[in-house]
Amino acid sequence: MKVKLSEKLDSLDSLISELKRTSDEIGGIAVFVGAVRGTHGDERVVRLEYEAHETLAPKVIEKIIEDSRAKHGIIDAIVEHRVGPASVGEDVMYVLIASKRRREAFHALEEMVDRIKNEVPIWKKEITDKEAYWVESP
Amino acid sequence: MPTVKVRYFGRLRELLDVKTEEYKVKDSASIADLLLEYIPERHGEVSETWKETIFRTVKGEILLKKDGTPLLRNYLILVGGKSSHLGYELKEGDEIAVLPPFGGG
Repeated sequence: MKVKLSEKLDSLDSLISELKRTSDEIGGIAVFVGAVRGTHGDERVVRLEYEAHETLAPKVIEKIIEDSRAKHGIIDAIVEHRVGPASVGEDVMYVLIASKRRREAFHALEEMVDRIKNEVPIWKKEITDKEAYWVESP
Repeated sequence: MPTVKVRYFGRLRELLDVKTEEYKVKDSASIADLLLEYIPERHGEVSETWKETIFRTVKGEILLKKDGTPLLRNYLILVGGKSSHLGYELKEGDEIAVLPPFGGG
């Protein structure tokens, strides 16, 4: 398991290799890449700014990964999330899930991304060509 | 007179224009006292916005539960990194964090 919050994400290639090395039982890796969308309604997005509770956020993500192991039987996972400013088109989050077979990885991936968005103390400010506002889960 | 440290994140950090600050509070002061009295008093220019941001209000008045405690919006209060509540009695050296609704990804 690896969880990292940083101004710079590691390369996806290196993360996939790292995950593969954790077990020879791995038969597939499902990957989610979150990127900065360039539009919000009819507004142009200029950039996003992320901040996180630097000690609590990794702990919550680790708990989510442990839950996923127990529920879906995944082998391992890596989650990386940006903090600080991010420009349009840049990657802001990687979630990689390794499992024996694809089905549990696909199920776990959607659930894990949803939980990261809703349960991890990370905040996002969206700056568009018209305004700036904090994006918060309902 | 315990001294406690308060950390703010996201829209609250921006509203108060500070990341962390310390408060010396009266003995037996609670988190509710901190949020309703000490912080608004120090940040008087944004005190109304502060209250309306973290508490549920109607026409500027904070809504109360049946037991009289104020009703928080979807905000989380941590003491020493663990979830706490408005009635918690502050102790010397406590670190309080006020977390707005999350929005990562």
